[in-house]
Amino acid sequence: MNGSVWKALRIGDLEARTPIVQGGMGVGISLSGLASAVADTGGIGVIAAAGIGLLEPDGFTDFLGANIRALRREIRRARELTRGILGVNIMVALSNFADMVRTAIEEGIDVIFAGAGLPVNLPEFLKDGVRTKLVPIVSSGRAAALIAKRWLDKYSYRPDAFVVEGPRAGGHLGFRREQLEDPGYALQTLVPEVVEALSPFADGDSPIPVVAGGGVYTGADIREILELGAAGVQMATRFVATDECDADPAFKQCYVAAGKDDLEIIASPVGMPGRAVRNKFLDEVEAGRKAPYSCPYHCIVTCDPEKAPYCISLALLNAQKGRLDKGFAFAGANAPRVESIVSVRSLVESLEEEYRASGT
Amino acid sequence: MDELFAKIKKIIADKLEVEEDKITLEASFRQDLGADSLDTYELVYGIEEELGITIPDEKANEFETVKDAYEFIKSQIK
Repeated sequence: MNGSVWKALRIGDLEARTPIVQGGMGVGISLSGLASAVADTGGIGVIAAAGIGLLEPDGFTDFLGANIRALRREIRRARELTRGILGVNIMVALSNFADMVRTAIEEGIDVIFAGAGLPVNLPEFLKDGVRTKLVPIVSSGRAAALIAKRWLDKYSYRPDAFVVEGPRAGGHLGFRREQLEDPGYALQTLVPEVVEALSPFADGDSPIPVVAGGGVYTGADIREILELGAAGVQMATRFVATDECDADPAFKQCYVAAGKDDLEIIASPVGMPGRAVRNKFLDEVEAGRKAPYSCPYHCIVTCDPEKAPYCISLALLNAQKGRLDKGFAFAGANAPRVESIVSVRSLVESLEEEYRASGT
Repeated sequence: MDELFAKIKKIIADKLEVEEDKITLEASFRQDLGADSLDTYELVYGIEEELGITIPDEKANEFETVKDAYEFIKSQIK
C-alpha cells in the first residue's frame, strides 16, 4: 500500500492499489498503450479485443488469424511496458470469442472481462494452473445471479468479480432505449441490487467484488459508487482524453469538441442501443442514405449484414484512425464534460485528490 | 397433449411469467412470449434442472419457437 486513501480493489490474488478498471474500448481505442499506462498507475488496464485484427494489413482477408496475432502482440507489448495488472475485454457477441479467450489465456492475461452477451460458458476455457480471473460484465442483478449460479453449478467456478455497467456508459448498452433515463436502472440503483443478488454466492465471508461503471467521472463519483458497496469503478470516457489512449488525436478531439447536445443513442447493427457522438456519418445512417455494404467477415453473431445499414467494425476502425467522416465515436454520457487531453498519470492523480477532498 | 409438453409448458409459464394458454407449439419465445436472452437462459437452466437433461449453451440460442425446444428436449429424454 502507498498510503492512498481509497481502498485497493482485490480480485482473487490480484490487488489493484488504484480501484479503477479502465473500460475496454474497441475498435482499437484501448490497446497496449492505454492499458499499460493505466496499469502503471495501479489500476487495471484493459485491451479491447473487438476487431483488434482489423488494425493489421490483412485484417479483412485473414480475419481470424489477424485477430489472434494482434491480440497476442498487444498483450506482449503491454507486458513489456508495465508490471501492473492487465485485462482484456472480449465481447460475448464476437464470432471469434473462443479464439480471443484462448489467446488471452495463453498469453497469461490477468483478467478477462466479458460482456455484450452472457458469458455462460467462459470457465470452460480455463485449464489447470491458469491464474486468469474471469469477470462478467452485466447490467442487472438478475444477470449476475444467473451467471454466478451457472458457473458454480456447471464448472464449480465462482466468478472472480463482476462489472455492472449502468445506462450512462458509452458504446453498447445492456438496456432498452426507454430504460436509459429511468431512475430504476440508474447505476446508483444497480450497484446495491447487484451486490445483493450476489450475496448468496459469497465465498464464506468474502463477497464477490462488484466493479461499477457508466457515468463515473470525478473522484467524488468514485466515492459515491464505492460507498454504495462497489469494490471498484470502471471508467472509460475519461481515459479516451489521455495522451496514451491508442486512438488518433482526431478521435480524442471529438470528445473535447462535443457539447451537451452532441450525444445520441443509436440502434447499433449489433442489435443493442449504443451511445455515440453525433456526426454527419450517423445523420446519414439515420436518414437512410447509407448503401448496403459487402461484409468481409461475419464478426458479430448478432449482426445481420443483410439488414445492417453499415459495417460497425469498419465505422469504428475508421473513427479510431481519425477518419470520422467514415465512422463515428462511441462515448459515455459525460463525454461533453471532457475539456482537454491529459496524461493518464495526471488524470489518476486528480481523481485521487478529488476522492480525498470529497470525503471531508 | 402429452405429459412432456405439459411439463415444459409449466416451466415456461413459471420462468417467463406468461399464461399457460399462450404457450402453443407455434409460439415464438421472443415475439409471442416476450423472452429476452436472460429469460432464455433461465428457462433452459430450469428445464435442465427439472428434467435432468443437458442442453448445450449454443442450442439455447437457437430455440425460436416452443416447438424447437420441445423437439430437442424430446430427443434428449429417451
